[in-house]
Formats: sequence, C-alpha cells, structure tokens
Amino acid sequence: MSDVLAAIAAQGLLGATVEAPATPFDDAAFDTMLGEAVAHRLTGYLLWSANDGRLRLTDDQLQHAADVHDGALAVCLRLERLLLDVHGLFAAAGIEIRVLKGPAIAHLDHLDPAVRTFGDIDVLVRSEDWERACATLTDAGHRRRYHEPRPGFDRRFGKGVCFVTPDGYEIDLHRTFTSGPFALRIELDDLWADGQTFELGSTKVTALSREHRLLHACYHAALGSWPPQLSPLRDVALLALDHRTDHQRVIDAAVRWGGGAVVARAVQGAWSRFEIGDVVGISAFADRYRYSDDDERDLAASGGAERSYPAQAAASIRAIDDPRDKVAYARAMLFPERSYIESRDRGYLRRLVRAVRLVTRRGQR
Amino acid sequence: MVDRPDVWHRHPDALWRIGGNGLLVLPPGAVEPVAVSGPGPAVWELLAEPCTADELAGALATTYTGDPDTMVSDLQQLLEHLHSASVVVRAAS
Repeated sequence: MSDVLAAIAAQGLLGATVEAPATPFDDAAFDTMLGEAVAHRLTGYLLWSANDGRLRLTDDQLQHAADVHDGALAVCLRLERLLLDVHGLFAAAGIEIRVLKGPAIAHLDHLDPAVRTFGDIDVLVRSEDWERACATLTDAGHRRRYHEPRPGFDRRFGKGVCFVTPDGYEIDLHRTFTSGPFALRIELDDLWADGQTFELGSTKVTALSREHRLLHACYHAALGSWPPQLSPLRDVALLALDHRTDHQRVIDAAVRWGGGAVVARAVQGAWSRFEIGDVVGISAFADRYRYSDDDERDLAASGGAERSYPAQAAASIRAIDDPRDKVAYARAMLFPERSYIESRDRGYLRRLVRAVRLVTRRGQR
Repeated sequence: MVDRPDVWHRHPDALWRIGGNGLLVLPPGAVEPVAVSGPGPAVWELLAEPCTADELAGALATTYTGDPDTMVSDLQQLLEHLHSASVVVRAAS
C-alpha cells in the first residue's frame, strides 16, 4: 500500500516516475487506501490521480473519495478562518508573523490549493515577541498544551508551543522550525529578511520565501516523524523541482546553519520515494553530500528510527556555544518545573529515569 | 425610472475551494461551508468580476443548455440564496 500512496503523493510532480497500479482496487483495498490517504493528508492528490486516469477507481469509489476530500477541505477552510483570526490578533498586538507549512504551500506552490490539505495552522514569530505572542493567544481563549520546562526556555531554545482553540483546532506557534541541535543552529534572522504574500479573502498574509519554505520542508521531512511522512516529502520535491527556486540560496543557508545533512537527507528521501530521475541543483548537492560523524550522530538523535529524548537533549547541549546557555539548557532538561511535567502528563519518576539516562550518556562520551 | 439589475460578486472575505463535488465557500462568521454543486464552480469563477444574472446566464450558455429565461430565473434564485448566506454581495452600481 505504501507504493500506491507514494504514487498518489507523486501526482503532479514533474519527473516522478513512481507508478500507481494499473488494475482497479476491490472495495476493501480501496477503503484501506482511502484511510491511509486521509491519515497522510493526500486526499487531494488521490482525487487528482483518479481524475487524471492514473488511478483506476469505480464510480462509487470516486464519489466516496470526493466526499471524504470535501470533508478535509471544510476543515482547511475553518483553519484558514482561524489563521485570519490569529493574524488579526497579532496585528493588533504589533506582532509580525510568517505563515508556515499547509496554507502557505497550498496557496503559493499549487495551482489549485484544494489539492494540498492540512490539519492545523503553523505560525512563526520572532524570539523577542515570544512571550507577548503566547499571552495574546491565551488572552483570546486558546489553551496552551504544554508549559515550558523553565521560564524563558522556549524563547531561548524552544521550537514553539501548541495552542488548542475552544473548538479543538490546533495553532502551532513556532519560534523556529523544529527542536534539537539542527534547530539551535538556524540563524533565525534569515527567516525574517524576506517573505512572500498571499491572499486569504481580502487579507494579505506573509509566508516564508520560497527558499525558506523548501528549507522548512526539509527540516520537517528529515527530522519529523520516522519514517518520513509523504506530505512533507512531497513538499520538498515540489519546491525543489520548482524552476523559480534559487537552489544556491537554499544550499548556502543550509551550510551556514549547519543543516547540510538535513537538506541532503530530505532531498535524497524525496527523490528515492517518488523515483525522481531529474537532477537539479539541490539534488546534486544531496547526492554529493558527505555526512560527518557529527551529522550522523545529530541525525540519529533528532530524526532517525532510534531517536530519543535524552539523546536529542544531549545533542542540543553540544550544539549550544555559550557555556552559560549550555548550563541553562541542561538545568531545564534535568530539573523542569512541576507545571511542565504535569502538562506533559508524566511523573517525576519517568523524568528522573530520563535524566539519569542523559547524565549517563554524557558521562560515556 | 427603470430598475437596474443587481450586480453581484463574491464576498471579499469568503474563503473557498473547488472540491470533489463542487464549490465549497466559508462565508465570514460561518462555521460550516456552503456547498454548491452543478454549475457552482463556474458561477463562482465568473463572480470574480461583478456581473448580473443575465451576464452569468450568457456566459454559462456556452456550457449549459436550456431556456435562457429559465436560466436567468434559476441564477437569480441561486444568487439570492448565496446572498442570504453572505457568500456573495451586491456590488455598488
């Protein structure tokens, strides 16, 4: 089934050669495929593949897929309304934002935004605006899912935090792309140097530049779920194959941020998953990239099958230059405040076990 | 004095997609999107610019067959319905 899903996700990617099966699906196989397409947010590409003749569905199956996709689109529209509300809240508070991921990729990188669905909204704010941004969302009635380990941690080291709206939708407030050592090396001011706008209704909102969208997609694909999900891999391929993308700018930023391994792994993953034969600047960079020992260790800690919380924390400490920051990070990881532990729904005992693991691993180095 | 026909266009703050079964529009203030199948996507495409029911019928006649007067009447009803749901607005003439 994973090859079928990859073929569906590859719909519309120029140069992708992964093929969907030529034979029709029986209803049981179709139901399984549709369920997985929903889970991977691929219903738009599924419908596009069927309408394009690459996927052979019966009329009933096609209708079912259309109904399910419309349900996903209804969620996207509600999320875009939420995004506009959040945009308005932050504008009133004088906080500039960048829209990340789903809505930005749908509107800026697809001719038809309906094919790229999403399940939450992601917004980037500057570190110096962090506390005010959190307070703005809290004051508007959105509930912060997790507390920070210690006061000031998120602003200095954190990826961001998830807020939940009263009706259950999620707002991911980001300070950077991800957590862990690779995130700590990103030069965040770069992300604010430019941007690209798109319209939601009559409101213009700003996303990252195309090159930074590609970099974010790479960090998401390489350091997110394991194995990498198809949707971020498709975003990587889509943006990398877009002739408007300045590949050298992407490579330069990745190298400057110490993220060459992240980009290489993501692009190699996308090219492999979708069987893309075309060579473009960034795929050539990925092909010739030589992973250092540090790369291998940090990738394993942050985004591999064996990744773990203690290993990522240890790798993060190594990535922090300032000795005082190292101490502050380690202290927050080892001795977080009770509110953080309770919000994570984990007891002190488990935390203690993790802390001991972290100390032990560091002691073994 | 001659009544001028209403001129319609999309609500500027409506959010929309063309879905698997037609048009989905989320008007401002609504929780559930309005679904319009059949000629909905074509009508929505035309309403990117202000136009009357007559003008819509004329443009749709290249795709849909039927009595022109009936088509105008049906479109008028559709537009009134969409207006009541804040999907479209009357343009200032």
